[in-house]
Amino acid sequence: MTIAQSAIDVYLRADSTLMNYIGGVGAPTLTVGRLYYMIAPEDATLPYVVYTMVSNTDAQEFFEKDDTQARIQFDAVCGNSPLAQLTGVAIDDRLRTLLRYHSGTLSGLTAWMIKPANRRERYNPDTARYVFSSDYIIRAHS
Amino acid sequence: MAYADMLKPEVLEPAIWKSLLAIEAQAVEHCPVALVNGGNLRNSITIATDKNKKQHGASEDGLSGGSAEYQGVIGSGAEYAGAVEFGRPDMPNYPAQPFLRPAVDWFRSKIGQITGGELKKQMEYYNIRHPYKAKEIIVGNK
Repeated sequence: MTIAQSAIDVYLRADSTLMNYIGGVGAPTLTVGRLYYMIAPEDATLPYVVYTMVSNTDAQEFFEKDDTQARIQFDAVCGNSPLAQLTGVAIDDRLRTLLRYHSGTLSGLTAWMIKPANRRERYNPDTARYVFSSDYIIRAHS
Repeated sequence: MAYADMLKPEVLEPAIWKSLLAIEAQAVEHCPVALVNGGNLRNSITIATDKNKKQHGASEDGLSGGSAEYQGVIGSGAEYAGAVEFGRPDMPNYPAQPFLRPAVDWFRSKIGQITGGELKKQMEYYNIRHPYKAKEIIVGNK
């Protein structure tokens, strides 16, 4: 787990609203709540959140800078009942509220800007699961 | 007239191709390949350029009224490319294995070197090929 990932993980776990949706009670530890890195367990209770580090590059554009630019994808997975869908949307919205244009100190990381990059939803009728996905680009200095 | 008038098709297209080739090379590096009979997705990564002609009305000198918008496209023709890039809604614990987004993110950090460098080179070639036009552009810009 990179610095950006662990910083985001701790930051999200500290939010009681988000953790109430996914089975944690605002405990900033790496074990409570259904917030998984990359792969969820086969029998994970719905809803849950999986996040993936898409890329982690130097944030050099036209000027040399000692910044990091990481892109993280969050998937909120939920069932297909109307209530479950609403919960999935609420989780996605809460993630957006927490991350969108956030700047400041996360744990071990100084985030200049967190920018939402992409948002999409997918559904599979065979497994009756909705996935609400969001990408965020984090520009930070560690 | 301005320096932007030097951005003719013969200047822009090589820069776009160079950018696309750089992204493609990175995408090929990131693309997951199955151990048995693998490589279909990696081989299906394709690049193309496109040109949309646009009419913006007469320019300041009243001579040229049209301009063109150039764009580069990179993607894959494989129908499961999206499932690999973003993960699968039917198998939420199947990890996303992004290969295009990391390539684009990496390229974004190198855009000054790759696209900017190629544009500079092509503009210098343009100056050599069309010395009078280039002089007119630079003198006329003052």
